Amino acid sequence: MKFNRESKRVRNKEQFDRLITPHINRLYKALCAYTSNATAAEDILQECLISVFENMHTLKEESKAFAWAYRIAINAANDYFKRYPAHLEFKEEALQGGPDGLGVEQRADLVRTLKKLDEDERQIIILRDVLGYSYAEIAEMLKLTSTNVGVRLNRARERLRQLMRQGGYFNGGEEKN
Amino acid sequence: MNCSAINEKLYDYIEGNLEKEEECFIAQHLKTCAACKQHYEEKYRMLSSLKRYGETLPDTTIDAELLFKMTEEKSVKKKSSLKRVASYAAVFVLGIMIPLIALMLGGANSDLLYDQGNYESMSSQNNSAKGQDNPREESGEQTDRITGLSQVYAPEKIIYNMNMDLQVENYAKARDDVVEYAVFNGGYIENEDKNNYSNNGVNYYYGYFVIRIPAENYEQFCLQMEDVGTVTNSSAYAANITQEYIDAEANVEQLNVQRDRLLKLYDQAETVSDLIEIESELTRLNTQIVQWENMLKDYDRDVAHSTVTLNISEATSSQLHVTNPFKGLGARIKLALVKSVNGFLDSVGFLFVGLFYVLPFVILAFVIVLIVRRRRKNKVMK
Ligand SMILES: [Zn+2]
Repeated sequence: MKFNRESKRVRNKEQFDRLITPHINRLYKALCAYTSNATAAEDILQECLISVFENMHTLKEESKAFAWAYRIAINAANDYFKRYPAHLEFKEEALQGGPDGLGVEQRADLVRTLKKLDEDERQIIILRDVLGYSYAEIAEMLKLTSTNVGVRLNRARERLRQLMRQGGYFNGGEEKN
Repeated sequence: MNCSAINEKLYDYIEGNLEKEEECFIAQHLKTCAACKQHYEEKYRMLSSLKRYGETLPDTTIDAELLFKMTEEKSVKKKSSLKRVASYAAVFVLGIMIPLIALMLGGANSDLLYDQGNYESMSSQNNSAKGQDNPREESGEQTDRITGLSQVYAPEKIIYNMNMDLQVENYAKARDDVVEYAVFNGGYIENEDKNNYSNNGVNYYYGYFVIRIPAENYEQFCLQMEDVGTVTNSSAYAANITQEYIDAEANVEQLNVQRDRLLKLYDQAETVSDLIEIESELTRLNTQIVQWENMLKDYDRDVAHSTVTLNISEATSSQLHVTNPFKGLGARIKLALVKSVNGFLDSVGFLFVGLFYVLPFVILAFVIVLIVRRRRKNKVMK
């Protein structure tokens, strides 16, 4: 009995190191964007990694490990905010950008507007436009077809643009690029 | 291609997903069509903002290796905590059974009310008797049960705030009155600001006070302000922070558990790099714990001390005559309502929990009464 448990742990560890470890930072960034709270994202990532590790043997296709871990992370996040609704608040200091990032106000505006989207819309925008995943990757993560991703992404982008326009996001100082 | 067809392709255009030919066509169109150009600019700005936001998201500091060392610790700990729960359960069952047996021996014909009324004294007798054997352990057990009850029924955490505008005849006198009332009620002036203006050659003073009053005297203090001057405006609000408070407490507890786990790891660490890693993690945890604990302290202070904000102004002689006996009535009613609703919730909550607490005894006593009655009936039958 004990031997079984130990060997399962060893096997899980091997798979985890190979399939998940290289993606931990990507998972974290996705959680940061999804929660807009870097501290909460860290807690959630921790819970997510433990759960991924313990369920490693249930993963069927190794090629889909990242998409699978991503779904576990999103579940962990939703679960976390059910337990600590107070942490849903946007923590500005937690998302300070680097020197070439957006201005603080612009970033706060953007995050607030993103929060107005439905969960599905927000996820797809974050995956495509914030984190730059391909349609095929997103399709796997959200369990959709590639065409479906295109359609939904378009809808979400238009919704976000409306919200940004209502919030006066485009009125601010014209930036030249 | 017309404008709406072009609009649909703008995102692909920006992302560079189109064929060369289509791309040139749209680029040409954008030079001439202002409507499409505006759409293009909005979409471009939106996508570039999102992209830059993504580029500046922070990196994680979590180390998976360390995390798994911690979970291994956790799985070992789980077993021992199971044992602990079992031992608590055993003690608890004993704690119920002994008074019950005492009850059965003491008076089998007792009715339900009698059972409830005497449970309290019975169990304390029982505890003091056992206490002679092992006073330390027993007192620990007793407080455990008491805190257990208070956790099920935690008192509501409510912060009371009041804003009041006062019109007075003489500022200096009013100020003295306010300070006197504040001190009388055990409170203090947190902030004060005095100004003046002149009207028809006469100087008038006005000022602003933030006063902290112990919550139990808050209502009284607010009513006393009507003796200081005429209340021209007042608004009260009560913020219930119970949930936030419980969450903060839970966070502290969770962080402390993590810290204990790390401290244990620290003792077992074999390499220097492990030690350094654990140490930096410990520092991070400690900072977080201090932050949450400070927040709890702030909460405690705000719950214990209500905040009254007073705006006091000297009235010009023409203003003085228009006093209204009903002014301030709203505040009084609001105050009374908030207090009584809370009082009501308090008592209902306590009753409810109390009910569950005595329920097992009531049921058992009921069964005993039934058995005794049946026995008597059997005797009569014989
Ligand atoms: Zn056009």
